Order: sequence, then structure tokens, then C-alpha cells
Amino acid sequence: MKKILFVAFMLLGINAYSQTEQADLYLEYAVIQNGKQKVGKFYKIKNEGLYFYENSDSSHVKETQEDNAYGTVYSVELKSSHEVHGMVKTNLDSEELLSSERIFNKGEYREFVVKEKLSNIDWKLLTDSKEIAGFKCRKATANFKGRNYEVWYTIEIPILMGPWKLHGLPGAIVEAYDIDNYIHFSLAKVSTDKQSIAHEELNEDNAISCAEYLALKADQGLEMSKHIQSKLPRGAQFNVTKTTNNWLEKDCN
Amino acid sequence: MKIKLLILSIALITSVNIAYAGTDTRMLDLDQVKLQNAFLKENSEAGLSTSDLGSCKINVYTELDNGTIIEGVVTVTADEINWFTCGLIKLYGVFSDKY
Repeated sequence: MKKILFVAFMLLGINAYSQTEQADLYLEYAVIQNGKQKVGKFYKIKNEGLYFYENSDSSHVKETQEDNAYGTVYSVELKSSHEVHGMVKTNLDSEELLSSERIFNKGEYREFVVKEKLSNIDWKLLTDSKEIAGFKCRKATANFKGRNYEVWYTIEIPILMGPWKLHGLPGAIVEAYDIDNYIHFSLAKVSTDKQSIAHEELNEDNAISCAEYLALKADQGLEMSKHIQSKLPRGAQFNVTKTTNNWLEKDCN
Repeated sequence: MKIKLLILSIALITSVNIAYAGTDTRMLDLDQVKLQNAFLKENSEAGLSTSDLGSCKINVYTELDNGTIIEGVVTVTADEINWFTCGLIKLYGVFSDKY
């Protein structure tokens, strides 16, 4: 009986934090971050953008296709925040940006929701142009979150946000990279099919600021040091000799 | 008779060693901390040795998935521990994943 109640309680909890929305544009990006490849998925939902990564071997992402009176509806259901990570929600109406960040804290990875005001990225729109994947693109550059970006965008897809936290250009980003080559986004797929997307809501109640987020990340060295020490037997001592913060976001601007 | 005693002794020693190894393995549950092969600069090929003073050091390299890299040294002192414990810590590193 207790087990049944527990399961029912868990299901109620999951439902309370999940949300289904209709997306009218889907952009998929091939991303290389710090030498590691992953797939970034961006959904435009009215004036909101939802971006996330999913593990390729994930069994928690369910994609279905259904034909109804209005046409074909594609559904994507994301069930686990562990399989879906790096979620970024950009809201152009409220000019807010919410993101889910994993930080090593108190002996384990914990998810934190970071809430930021949508900043005006100071893009320099250049006259350089070229065609990428059939799209006529123009170049723009900007410093964002402590990195210098070069971006190729196209006004053929008129969208102001994505991928990740990048926003404010007059068209979709087709290619973006920082000059240190830490991260590289390449547009791989575009779909204007109507899509229903179910995802876990980012809970703003305990959201932290960008400055708090960076401070928590800076503490990870100490946190990991404590963790390693706690696992060692008597007589063994762990000392940190070097901490390198090779972060995508170096600052909050 | 002597042979029987010898066999019994070997069996006892073996079982004690297995129990000891089992206990230490649990103690040394380092989760997924990656212990790299760098182990004393004047290291042996296997990466396991003790210094003249009977202590050993193991270099630790841990990369978190958000880009933080923590490097450090585990020092095992001569009073408390020996080559066997160093070996267990080291062996755990062989089987561990990137954090």
C-alpha cells in the first residue's frame, strides 16, 4: 500500500512539473563543445525558445508522429532531466532567460535553475556574406559571456533567439563559434512542422542569479576536494594542486 | 600431517586476504573519481611503487562535465598504510569513469 501511495505521489509530482506546448519551428544544431560532440535542439514556442541537449543513447525521449484533422503532429516527450540537460528557456515577452545548470555541490551533481535578464548582445553586423547549407548568410560578431563570437545568420529564417543563450540577431544562426574554438554550433536540420513538446518545467522558485551560479561553479574545486577526501581511507590525504575553470560562460555579460 | 597443515594455512591466509581486500575496496569507494596514471614522477611502469620512506603519492585528475578541471595529489603516509592500499586506490582508478 505504501509503495502504491509512493508511486502515485511521485507521478503527481512529475505531472506538476511537466508541461506540453506547441512548437512551430524546430532547429537542430550539431555542437562541438570543448572537443565533445552533441546535438542541440531548439524549439520556437510562440515568443519563447526552448533549447536543450539530449544524450544520444537516451531512452527517455519519446518521439511520435500522428495524423489528425489538422495535419501531421509530431510529439516529443522528455521524461528525465538527467537525459535532457543544458535546458535554456528564452522568453522575449518577459525578457528573461532561464537555464538549468549542473553543478557539483555537497558531494553530488545538483541541478540549479539560473534566472537572468535577457541582455542586449552588442552585435556588430558586418557586410561579409556567404551561402551555408543553401541559406544566404551574413556575418556578425560580439562578445558574450566573456567569449568573442563570430556568427553567420540568415534572415530567411526570421527568428531572434537560439541556439543556447545566443539571441538578438535578425535571423536564425546558421553557424556560430567563439574565436578560441571552445564551442561551435552548426545548423543541421530545420523543420516548420507543428510539434507538440512535453518537458519538465524549470522551477523558478529557487532560481539563482548568474553571479550566484558562477560563484557556485568556482566552489566546485573545494567541493570535489572534500568529496575525494571523504572517500579516502585513514592515512590518505588529498590536496588540490591546480583548478582550471574551462567554462563556456566566463562572466555574466 | 605437515602437508595438511600447510594447505590449511594457505587456505586461511587466502581467505583473510580476500576479506581484507573486500573491506578495503568498500572503504576506497571513490565513486567515479578518475585517477590518472601519473604516480610519482620516478614511477614504475605499472604505476605502483613505494618511495624509500614507505609513502606513496597518486596524482588525481578530475574533469567535471561543466568544464572545471581539478588536479591534486593523494598522499598515503607510511605510518598508516602500505603498498597494498596504494595499489587498491590505483586499481580503482583503472576501473573508474570520468566524473
